[in-house]
Amino acid sequence: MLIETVKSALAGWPAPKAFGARVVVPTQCITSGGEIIHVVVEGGNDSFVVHDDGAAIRIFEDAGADLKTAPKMVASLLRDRGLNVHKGTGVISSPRVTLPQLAATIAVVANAARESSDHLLHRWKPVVRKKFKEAVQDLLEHEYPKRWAHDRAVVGHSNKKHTFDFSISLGDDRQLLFDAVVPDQSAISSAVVRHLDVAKAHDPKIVQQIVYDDRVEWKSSDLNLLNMSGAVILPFASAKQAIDKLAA
Amino acid sequence: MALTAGGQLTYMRIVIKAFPNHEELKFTIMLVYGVCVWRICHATDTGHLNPLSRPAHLPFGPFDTPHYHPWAENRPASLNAALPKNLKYANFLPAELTDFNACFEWFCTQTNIQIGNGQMPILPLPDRLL
Repeated sequence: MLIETVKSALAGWPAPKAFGARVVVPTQCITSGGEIIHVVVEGGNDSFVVHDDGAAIRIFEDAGADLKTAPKMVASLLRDRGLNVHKGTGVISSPRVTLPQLAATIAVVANAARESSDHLLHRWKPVVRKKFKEAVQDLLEHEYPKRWAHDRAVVGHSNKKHTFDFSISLGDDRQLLFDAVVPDQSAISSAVVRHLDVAKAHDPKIVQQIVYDDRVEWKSSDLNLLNMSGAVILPFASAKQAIDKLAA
Repeated sequence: MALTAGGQLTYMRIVIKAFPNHEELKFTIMLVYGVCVWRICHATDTGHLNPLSRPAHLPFGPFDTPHYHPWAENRPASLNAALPKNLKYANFLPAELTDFNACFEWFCTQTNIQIGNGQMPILPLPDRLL
């Protein structure tokens, strides 16, 4: 009988699995990327809560996405569906349900998670390039943890206090001051003024650099202007090598 | 973890997600270039299904045991096409890769990434007793 064959085939689908007091259910909801939505059932007797354990957000993050507003977007999508969305984690959960409602609630939560994950992916615009200062900050945190600081204030020759984007301790009381600059006139001008004024103070313990965003096009006149600042001008891609030499 | 090529920074990152309080060994290792381009999913409480139109050498699934999504199977046909947001094709992880270190080293071999001395990531330990 075909019905028996179909029932037998369906029995081959991954079965629910207990993890401590929770049961993880592999549902038949599948995202556009082929991810099978698993939901978690907690509770017992005649009162259960079903949640996606953050599956919608996890699947989105596994695509390489990093969007702080994702939980809010999920909450907005699932508004008026009787489901709860945790503000911080984006976990989608049902209210307490009874045993006769459990199977349907599993389907509702799983479908909500699938829909949310696909919605987030559809809305997401991947960016290979981070904002320049964030990229520089990532480099410093990775390569020189605990040795760097941002917004370092230094008094220049004119007695004016300047704030540099970053500083790195080079040992022996020496410090590297540098700015991360994008091709924007005001950013260029203020960096040049800062570095000129501090360079004129001739403090032997200060080394100055300007790191420019070489992922984008620059006019040669702007690079020439940076060169007049008295600081060493470096493309971002070479910054690590140059800092390593200074810190050696 | 940022990556360099020929001493210069690339915009690729290795991202590792750990689940230290999970009952079983669970982690994700990703190579991200704007989007995830290579991924190992080491878990038994997540799953994947390959498309019906998959290449013949790939199983259909469901993958409810550790599996991986290689770039070679998921790259767009045209180099001019945008990178895919989803890694739709997966395969089962070789059975001998049973711990994080083995998986991470295998991942680095597959992706031609060299890890320097002292750069081997360590998964965090559980931070609660129960």
